[in-house]
Amino acid sequence: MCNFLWRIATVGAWAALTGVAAPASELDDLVHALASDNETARVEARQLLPRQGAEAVPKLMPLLIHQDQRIWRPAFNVVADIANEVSVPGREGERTMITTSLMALLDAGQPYHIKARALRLLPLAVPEGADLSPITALLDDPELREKARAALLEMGTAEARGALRAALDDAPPEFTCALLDALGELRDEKALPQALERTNHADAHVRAAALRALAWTGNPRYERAARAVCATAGPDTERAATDALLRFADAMAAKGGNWNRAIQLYYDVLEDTEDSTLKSAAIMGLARFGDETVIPPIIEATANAEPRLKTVVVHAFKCLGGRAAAKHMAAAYPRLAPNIQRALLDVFARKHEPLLLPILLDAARDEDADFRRAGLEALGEARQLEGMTVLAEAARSASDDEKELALASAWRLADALRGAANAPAAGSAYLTLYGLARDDAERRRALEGIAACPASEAYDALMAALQEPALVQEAVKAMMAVAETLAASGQSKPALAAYEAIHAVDDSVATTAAIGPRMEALGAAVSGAEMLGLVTTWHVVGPIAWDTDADWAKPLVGEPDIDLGAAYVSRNREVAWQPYKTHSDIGIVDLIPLLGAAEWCFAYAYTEIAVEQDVDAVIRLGSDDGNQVWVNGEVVAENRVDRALAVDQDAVNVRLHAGTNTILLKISQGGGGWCFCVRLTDPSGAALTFDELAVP
Amino acid sequence: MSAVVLLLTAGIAIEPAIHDALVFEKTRIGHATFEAAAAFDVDDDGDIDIVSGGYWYEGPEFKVQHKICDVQQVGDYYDDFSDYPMDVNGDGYLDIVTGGFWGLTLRWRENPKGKPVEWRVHEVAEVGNIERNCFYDIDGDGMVEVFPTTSPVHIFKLARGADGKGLGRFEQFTIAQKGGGGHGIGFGDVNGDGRPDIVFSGGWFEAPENPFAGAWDWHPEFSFGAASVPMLVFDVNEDGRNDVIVGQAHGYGFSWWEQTVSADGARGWVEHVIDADRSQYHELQLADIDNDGAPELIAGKRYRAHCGHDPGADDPLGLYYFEINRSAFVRVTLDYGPPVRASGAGIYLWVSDVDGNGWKDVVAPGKEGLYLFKNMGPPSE
Repeated sequence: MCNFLWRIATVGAWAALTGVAAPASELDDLVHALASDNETARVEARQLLPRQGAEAVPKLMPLLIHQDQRIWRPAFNVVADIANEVSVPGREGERTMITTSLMALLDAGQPYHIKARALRLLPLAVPEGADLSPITALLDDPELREKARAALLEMGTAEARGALRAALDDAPPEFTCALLDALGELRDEKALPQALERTNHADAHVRAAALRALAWTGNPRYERAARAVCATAGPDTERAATDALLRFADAMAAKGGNWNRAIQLYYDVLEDTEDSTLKSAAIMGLARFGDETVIPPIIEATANAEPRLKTVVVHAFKCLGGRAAAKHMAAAYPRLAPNIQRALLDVFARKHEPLLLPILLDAARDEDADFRRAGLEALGEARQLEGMTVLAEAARSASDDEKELALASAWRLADALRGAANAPAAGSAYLTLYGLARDDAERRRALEGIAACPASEAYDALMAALQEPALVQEAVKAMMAVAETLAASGQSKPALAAYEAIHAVDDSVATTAAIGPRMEALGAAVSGAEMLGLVTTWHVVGPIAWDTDADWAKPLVGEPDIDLGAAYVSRNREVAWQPYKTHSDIGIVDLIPLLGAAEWCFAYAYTEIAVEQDVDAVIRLGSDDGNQVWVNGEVVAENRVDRALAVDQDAVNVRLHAGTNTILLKISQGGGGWCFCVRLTDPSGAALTFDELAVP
Repeated sequence: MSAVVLLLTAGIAIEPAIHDALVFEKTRIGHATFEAAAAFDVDDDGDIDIVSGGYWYEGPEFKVQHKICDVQQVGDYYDDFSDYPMDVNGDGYLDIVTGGFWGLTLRWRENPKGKPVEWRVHEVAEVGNIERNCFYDIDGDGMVEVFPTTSPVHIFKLARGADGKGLGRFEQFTIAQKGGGGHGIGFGDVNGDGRPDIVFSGGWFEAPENPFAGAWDWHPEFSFGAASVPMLVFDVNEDGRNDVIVGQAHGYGFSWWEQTVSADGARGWVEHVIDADRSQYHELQLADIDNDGAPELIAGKRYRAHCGHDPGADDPLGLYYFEINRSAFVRVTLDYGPPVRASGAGIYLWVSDVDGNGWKDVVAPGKEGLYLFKNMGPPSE
């Protein structure tokens, strides 16, 4: 209904505008609507018209030249949208259609503002190969030539470049400069001879513009002309000419191949100009492209300069890289003003260069407080362990605020060394920080660092830390890492002592499982399995079908009496007992590799162990999935469950008698993983001492 | 009897008068990152082409690339530590003799007569880790022999027919079981007897009359460390005795070692530092870049020579030539800066007149890319 109403409403407006009867197509309707007084219809038309494509543009021309900006502005925006839409490869035909419509607005009879409007839109549409003569003609029009030049620059087509070049012949000096700038911006190679010729122009502004047009090439063949432009510049063009020469040097340096020439150009600018901005630009050119040899000239150029120029040294030194440059910077440093020296400390620190470290160390011990603070800050960034000594000194003996700063810097240094994969240095730094720590939180953080970057010199400190309840968790991790480092370097005795110390404070399964095999490898008297009370030797059989719930209670292999020589047929497959010894750190018996992947079935596992005397014990069992347990032929536990394995999931109190005891497990399998692990402890949780018997 | 004297001389390398410097045009060729390159007419069309590892590029524009073959890649290395043009099979087309550290094998790649098909690769011998092949006319017959820089020290001489054409195979001579291998090899007359000796990092082998059959006497007179491949045997100070120019391939340092002879005839070696503060001078060459009749020393950094683990690995790249004025080395920088824009020297660069303008150009490969530095001669307007 709404659509219908605005159509009717726009008909009158269209008739008033064009004097012809309203057309009927959707495109025409939208064009009518865009020119209507109906605000809603105009908004909708503005949104929908760009979808009509290039065919809409000719119909929008009457609106585009309208006096009322409520009409021409939306038309302008629609044409711009359409032109942008088609400005992709393959749509040159549509661009040509738009170009043709817009070029008509450049007719001699059109007023200035209409031509200007068209010149704003044409760069969006003009394709390669388009006839630009209507625009070219405007380059002779003093009122419109600048807009025409800007349009041609934005187009950048071969024809646009040609038009700009052609205009150079008769252009007055000021416009010649603008044309040369456009051609330079377009990096137009064909314009280079004309630009070179104009480096001899009578007007110094033109000469400078000509050099700007040549500058992008960085071609040494233009060097003589470039120098001549600068040499013949007057007071009002010296800045422009030198700026162009610097652009020329930048391009030459960036292209490569003529490094010495480019660097010499910067030197010459430094020597010839008094303009501090240009000097700064030359210095930064030297810094971006130069090597160590540019440092003395930079220092010389800024020695007696105004303060702002002196600070450029800091930025320049930031750019220069490599050991050779660092060596020259270190040599230049004593001759610099104190404020520059102070600013350079951070720059030097971030170069991570050992040659610059002595400067940072001296600064961190300087008598001047500001300097000293800057030095302490810098050491935190320098990634060199030598800085830690000075930071530690300050953290212990400086004023409170300086202590804080030194400590923060020391943490940054340690973390940076860790980030740089320099583990030995980082570990040493964290050890220092452990000694500097003011509370348990900081000590724990340092221990975490040592754990990540183990340093063997932390051994004694960690032995002590293991005795601190507040630190024991982090100390265990750190000592584990240190012990591993010691073991790897052949220091078996301290490594073993470290593991024993860990076990003394943390006998958890996870920790014991981790250190047990390592201790065993180092010649410990007990094995990892013994430390945990793991049962590692079994006979297993399966899969035995689990078809009904009743199978849980049904003796499927004659249990509780077991015949290890027997075989069973289950789901048309014969299965028999097979011996297995697990070498898992936590005694896991993975049934799938042994018995094959299966679902809805059971496995049985049987073993015999011997204890010296009657004893209360706990069977600590993990299983995937459920389990049933017999000890000496009696069911002692059952857990019908569907789960993944974890160590010690079930605990079963049992009484073992002196001599041989039998253990039989029934492990269910629904799907997925299928495994179990068993360890024997006394009621307090300590590993039980027992012998695993070789079952025939 | 020999003596080694260390003389640290700082600041030998200084910049020349700029206005005399040659003009170069630098161009990136393709996008490959092999570390060896050469320039020769691959397809016999009269234009010099550029070869680098697995590809060759059609001259004179070098925009069109053709695959030569797959080259074993190990991390950011390629098993292609030299690309030397040699008509191995005598068919009139230059083939490529190559080898590398990883493949342990001296190979040649057969030019398919310039056709745009892959080249057949022939294995010559498994000789161990080839730090870089070197090529030198050790027997003075006008044709180079191949030295794969291994231990034992081998010479591979191309078998030729009566017409002088290659027969597609090499004769292998093992001249020493020890010495050689790894870094540092150079060729030249050390003792002034008119025969080319072979210099290694730890000493030099004195050439017998017949290099293939005679005994090479070992003179362990110096220790140059992880030296460049090659080292250059050259009379730097024009005293009539050859000296040795040595870059440090995996560390900082670039020196020339002056050969001295005392009154009692004992030979000594005195180090003169050319550049103490740039690293990974792995590749050196002598060539007359400025057409003044005397050779210049072309050298530069090998980017990521040990995958970023060498001292100075993060320092800027550089490619230079040094004018040698008796004992003074005057550095001219062709390129300098970060690897994103600058070129180093790779492990095997090539110097020859690629564009036929009478001035020798530099083809610089490397992990940072393959670059051609066209020598345009002195500046002209």
